[in-house]
Amino acid sequence: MNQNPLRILGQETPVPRTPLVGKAYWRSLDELADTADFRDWVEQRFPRSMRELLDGGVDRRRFLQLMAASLGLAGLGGCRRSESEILPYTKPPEEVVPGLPNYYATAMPRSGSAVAVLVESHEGRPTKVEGNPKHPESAGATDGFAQASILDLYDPDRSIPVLKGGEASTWQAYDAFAADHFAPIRRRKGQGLYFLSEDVASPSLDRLREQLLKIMPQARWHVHEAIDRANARAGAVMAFGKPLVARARLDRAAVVVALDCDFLGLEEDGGRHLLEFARARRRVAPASAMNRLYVVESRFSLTGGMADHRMRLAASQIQDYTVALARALLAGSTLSEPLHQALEKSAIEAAGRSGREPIPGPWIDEVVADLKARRGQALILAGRRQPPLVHALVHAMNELLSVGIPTRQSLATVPSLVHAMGEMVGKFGRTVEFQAESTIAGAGTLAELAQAIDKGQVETLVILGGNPAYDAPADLEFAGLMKRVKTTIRLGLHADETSSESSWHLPAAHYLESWGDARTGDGTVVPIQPLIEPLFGGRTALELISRLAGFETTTPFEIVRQTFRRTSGVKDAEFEAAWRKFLHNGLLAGSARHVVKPALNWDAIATAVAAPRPAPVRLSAEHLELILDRDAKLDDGRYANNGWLQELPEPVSKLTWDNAALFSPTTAKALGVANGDVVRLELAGRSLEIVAFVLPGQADYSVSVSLGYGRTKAGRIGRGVGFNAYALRTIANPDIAVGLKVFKTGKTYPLACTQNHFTMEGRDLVREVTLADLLASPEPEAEPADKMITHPVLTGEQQWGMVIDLNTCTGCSACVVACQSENNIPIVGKDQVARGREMHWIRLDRYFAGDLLADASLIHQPVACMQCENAPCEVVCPVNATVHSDEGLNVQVYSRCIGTRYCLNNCPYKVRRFNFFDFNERPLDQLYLGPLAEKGVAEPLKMQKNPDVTVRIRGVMEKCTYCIQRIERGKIGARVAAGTSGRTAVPDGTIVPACAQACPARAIVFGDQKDPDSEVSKLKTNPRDYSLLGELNTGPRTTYLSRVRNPNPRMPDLGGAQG
Amino acid sequence: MIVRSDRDPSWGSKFSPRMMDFVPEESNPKREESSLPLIFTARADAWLRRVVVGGFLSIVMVLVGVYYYAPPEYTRVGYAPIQPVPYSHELHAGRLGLSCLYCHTGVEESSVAKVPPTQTCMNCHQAIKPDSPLLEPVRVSWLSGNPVPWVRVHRVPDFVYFNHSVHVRRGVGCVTCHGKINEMPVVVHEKSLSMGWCLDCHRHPEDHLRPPDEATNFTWQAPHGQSQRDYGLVLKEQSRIRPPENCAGCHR
Repeated sequence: MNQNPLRILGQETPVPRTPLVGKAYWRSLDELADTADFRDWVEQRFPRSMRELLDGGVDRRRFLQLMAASLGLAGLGGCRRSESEILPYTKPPEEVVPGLPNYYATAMPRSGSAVAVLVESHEGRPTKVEGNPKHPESAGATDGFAQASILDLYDPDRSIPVLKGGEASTWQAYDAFAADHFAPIRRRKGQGLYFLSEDVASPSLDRLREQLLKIMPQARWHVHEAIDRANARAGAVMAFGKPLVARARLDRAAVVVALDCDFLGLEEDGGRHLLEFARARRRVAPASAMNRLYVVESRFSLTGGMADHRMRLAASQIQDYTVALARALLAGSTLSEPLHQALEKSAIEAAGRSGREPIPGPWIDEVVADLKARRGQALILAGRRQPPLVHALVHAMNELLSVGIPTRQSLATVPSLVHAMGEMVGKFGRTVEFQAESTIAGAGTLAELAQAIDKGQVETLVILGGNPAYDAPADLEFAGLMKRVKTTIRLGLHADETSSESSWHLPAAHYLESWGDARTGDGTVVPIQPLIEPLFGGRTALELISRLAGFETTTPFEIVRQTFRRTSGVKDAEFEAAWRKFLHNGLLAGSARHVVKPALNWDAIATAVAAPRPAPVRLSAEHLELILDRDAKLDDGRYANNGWLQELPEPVSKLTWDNAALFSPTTAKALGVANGDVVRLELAGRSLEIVAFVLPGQADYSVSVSLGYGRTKAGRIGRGVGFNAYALRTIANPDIAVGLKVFKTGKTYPLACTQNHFTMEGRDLVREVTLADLLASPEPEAEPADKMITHPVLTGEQQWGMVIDLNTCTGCSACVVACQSENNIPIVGKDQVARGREMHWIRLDRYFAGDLLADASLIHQPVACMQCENAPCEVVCPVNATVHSDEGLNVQVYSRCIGTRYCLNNCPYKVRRFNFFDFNERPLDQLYLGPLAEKGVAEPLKMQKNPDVTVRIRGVMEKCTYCIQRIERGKIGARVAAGTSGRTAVPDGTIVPACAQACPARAIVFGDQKDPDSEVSKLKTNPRDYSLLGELNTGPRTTYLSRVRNPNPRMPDLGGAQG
Repeated sequence: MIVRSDRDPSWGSKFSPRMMDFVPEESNPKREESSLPLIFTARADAWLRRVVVGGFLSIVMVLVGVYYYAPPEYTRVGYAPIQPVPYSHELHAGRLGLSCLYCHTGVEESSVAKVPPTQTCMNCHQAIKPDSPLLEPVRVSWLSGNPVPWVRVHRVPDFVYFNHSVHVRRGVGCVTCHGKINEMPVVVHEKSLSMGWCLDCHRHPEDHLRPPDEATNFTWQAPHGQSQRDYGLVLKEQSRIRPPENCAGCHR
């Protein structure tokens, strides 16, 4: 896609190609403009000529020679199978039955919280991560990070030896050093000893830290997270006087306004929000029960894609919008006169300034009217990077909306009104709850640590996890500062940028190898229990701290048990039982933090509103805004060496293996940049060369760049991928900076973007209805009239089917990683992705609709094998390698496949994937060396493979199987249980494919569609149910429920949902 | 004897030059004067005949050979490797009457039947024949923690996902696939375990079904007066046995 779509845009706004049926959707600007490059791409995928083959220049004679030779050689080796051994246990471990997986509850630590998970283990090796269904926060679902964490465990690039000054050393050497080094420090009460940790929510670590600071009161503890919640905390302090954590309850909210807040995606608690939001979103009837979402944001987020109304607004201008919204909401209120006046004054000032884009009137008036109409069920959310004032104002507005707004007119009737509102709140519960803060109390920041180093106070620095040398704001120059500390001890999974600046690097244990504990978002205590001994001999932070502090107990297991004894408060007699239950359930019931009801400090907010703020500057092509984003795949860079996440297409831009500077079409046109151009971003004396990418839905003159790329020391996967945006980050403006300048460099850079791959060309693929239309005419889809092709009667007792609800699917891509983990799907590398050879069995098609230059809307559609009843792939296979099962599955037989790829050509959904190379066995940079390349899977990576799924070799076609291994496990289980009784049907809900299990929105439902009582059958009778390309009469077993938008009829844009 | 007239115009059109080779030389005195050119010598033709016939025969022989020697019926049946410990099923399962399930504990719940851990051997052999030299590898394993390296006898290819539990619990006996283990001092691979052999039973399970309680009984027979097939049909109906015949049943 080298051709600049904007060159065409420059002439006139392109009109989408007329679809065969329905509304016009487009997957990329290239498709919309129907550029020559896009036509070429489609032509190659759907060849009308044999040009590709002829140009390939395969010498037929030579080919036959080689084939004959290899056939002859193959014959010699295949005469007899080699002798193999069976090695049983000597003393078998309890619980392990070879061939049956075990599941253990544990938790994956995250920044400031944890995710409760259940991990599948095959004979002692963990293979798959699922959500813990007993935990209310995840309810069995996970996100992509948790799914991919299993690959981190087996990462062959993890640091193996202890490093002393970069040279390999041993734990013994370190222990000897530590004994000498820390004894005098302990005598000096910890003077000169500094700790820098991540934001770890662990009761045991908290306890150890308290103990440590007791014996070494001079020691200091600092916490650093590149993506922190300092703004939210400051906002809460402003509003309530103390740092409370606001927890939105999306299932109670009928109207939601998100201000630069990707609460369904990358903000904290995204998984729980999505679960709750989807629950409310599914209430399609009656009309009043479905929620409505307004989103104001600068970059297209997944939350913005779900919005009923979305406004593009530069992130730096959202504060003004919030003030305007608060003013309109408080108009006529008597709750807080000072705040009211401050808002009036501020709004008048703002109106007087020329620096602001005018905000469309309805975005204030109608939104406020809608919020007021649903008071008690209204919710406003502020994004992590918005300044504290926005958070404080949002708290104030939520407070108003939860109890009702007493006005001058209604003041006489306040008691009854408040009473009525109180009843309403009692009925639904508050849409926001507050809990005490969970972060490490009294800890310093990274900037304070930098000051201490600068003053020469730091003699010994212990860095527990994190990667400050890479992800500290650029103006701290932390890597340089680290050199000035005499002794730096660093515990980390990888030998990375920070390790090379440290005197000691100690390999850390992965969470699947560790004993520990954590608190999830709601404060519930969860255990972290090891599924495997540390593969590379790593230690946990708990062990490291207790050793250097000279505590009696140094084994993490005992430390965690001691903490549990305290937090649970159980008596000694019941301890073992309680402990076992804790480990079994994976949580300590009732340990969530209490919900508090704080009093809002109206005057403090009023003061903050009244305080002078710098006037926002009007953004233009010469004066841009820069947004530094948390990355949807690498987070802050910590998952950079995870191949699954690197190859996962970014949910909105669909970029793999790179980040890019994202421009709106208007901005790109003004600057004259196009996809693939390398631009230089300059901000306050710092600069970064980065590739540009044009993305609709981006606010004009606002440039977004994801953090986490451009790692210099990450391992073979992550090194040198993308561009390091931390280079532009400063302490003062970590997330939003204004004054960016962009210069073209004239260079170009190849991007591997999957947006046009496996395209299905302008047909009626995704469907949307408005709620009003749906309620007016719930007409089910008509069967295709032309039934020319039929299939033999399917005799299976159960007939498998799937329904995917586009109404709740945000496109978060957890299913893609879950599928990759479950089905042993290899990664192929950037070069192969650029050729359209990615192997993901499930892809998330992303469509834009609406006006390109203004407010496009976004919709995602997961597409995997449809398991067609009249499968076009089956009839063209010359060797019967793809056949139909009696239960309606389209079965792919790897051992028969000879790789003709006819099936791929004949598949209208483009869901089949071909192994062009031995992706599992050969290094990705040596694919073209053929037999000369190294062969074999890196040793630890072998252990990740699911033993129930064949690892495919080169030349074999593969595709989604509906997780046939899980279906067969379910069927075998039902038959074993049935014995001679004949009750062999698998109960509904027993078989859950990996994608459905991971889905945080519960958008994917699988089951027996022959059973009228199954969930999937019920969904298939929904009037919104439709088949993808149903007019082809393929009879797909996977059907979709069209998305329902619930636009406010009084809003002007209708969210782009008008058909 | 073929007599040919060069003057007969029909000859030239009916025979190619090579057909002339079939004319005995002595009977064709006028050959030198022939207007048709000679391409192959007689000797070359003879070689050609031998190569064609020989080639055909060798292809047939290779096919017959592959057909006979390559399938598991030949390559696997009769395979009886020497085990590190001369464990006798004939003694333990036959004469002593140990149940199969005493050692192969996974067979009712898991895909694999499970080869017993050393501990299972030591349960008895700590007391019985504790000093037998034949049991030395078992004792070494017990003390060292290293497994006894049993040699695998029955093996299906990696892309076959066979499950023991569903067979045993639904009425396929051990003897059906493993033969009369209770009479084998050394375990012999008795059935071919080829795909065709599997499918024979999957298509006609009634020939092999028995009550699941009798799965480990090596001498079980259909009740008196009933043929295996009739009895199997009753069981098949009652338990609703529908073995998968599609690929996904075993290949994933």
